Amino acid sequence: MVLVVNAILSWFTLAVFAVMPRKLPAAANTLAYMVLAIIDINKLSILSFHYHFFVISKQVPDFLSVILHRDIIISVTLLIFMNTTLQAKRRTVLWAGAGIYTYLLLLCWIMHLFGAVEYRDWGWEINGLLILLLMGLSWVLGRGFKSLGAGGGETWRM
Amino acid sequence: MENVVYDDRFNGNEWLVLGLMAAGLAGYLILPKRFSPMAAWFNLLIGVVIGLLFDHTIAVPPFDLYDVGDEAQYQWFDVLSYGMYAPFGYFFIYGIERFRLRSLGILLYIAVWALGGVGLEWVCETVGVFHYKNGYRLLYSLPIYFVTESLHLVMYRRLFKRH
Repeated sequence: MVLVVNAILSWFTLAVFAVMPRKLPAAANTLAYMVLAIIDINKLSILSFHYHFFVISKQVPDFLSVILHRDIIISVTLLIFMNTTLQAKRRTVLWAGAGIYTYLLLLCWIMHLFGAVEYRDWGWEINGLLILLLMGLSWVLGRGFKSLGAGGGETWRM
Repeated sequence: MENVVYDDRFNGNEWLVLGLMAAGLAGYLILPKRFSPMAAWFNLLIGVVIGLLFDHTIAVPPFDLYDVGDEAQYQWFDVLSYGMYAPFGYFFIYGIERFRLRSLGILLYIAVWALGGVGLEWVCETVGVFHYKNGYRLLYSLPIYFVTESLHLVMYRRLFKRH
């Protein structure tokens, strides 16, 4: 069940990213995805396989849903947030940020609800804090890439 | 997940990882720069990302096809070890640009890199960087290298080449 839910959510997240007006070139979005993926994959593996704060299901469909959650849903949602912060007014950014934060928390709750991720020494407070940190990093990446792009077109060429 | 400890010393596998990273960094600094900062970062990071995506999907339960490093459990040194992939992506594209490879030349070049990748992976397995299990064999990595190198080249050209 959770695999179906996450497959649809992956499609939804990618579709939103595909149709939204983007402020940064594809190369910047790809680099931002790579940085976020490096952090998110290591975060998940260290917290689950090293510290055992939570346990990832060994059922193949559940595990695949975790992979979709990690590699598509979370990372691309953070890219959506990054691009939103670069083009909207301050008030809109705050509302969009709150909406995306709630959506990311809901995604984690779905994983927990369907048993794909079982919490042990883990709580919602620290989960919420980690999401905030990832959103903060996305914001910084967006600002950084925008300033590089503004610095000269050559930055994005070969 | 039951932990398996293969080795508890700083020895061959750690030295190989650090050696590859140092050699890669030296090569990066010595070679004339051919890329913009963004293209250089893309070529450096893509190997790390692909390595992480594969290892943290097929090398963890339920598939659990191999372990990385001294223990089955993910260790802090394992995080660092992904840095050894970074220069390879850079040198891979560097060679294509340096020698202005086209069509059949690129196919041959990818094949040589894929075989080189398997060769290096064999060295890594020998010194204990990788520990195959649950039926995984070194040869299975060969098609993965062909696909990931081709994907790298396609992405690089779409994102950074203007002609």
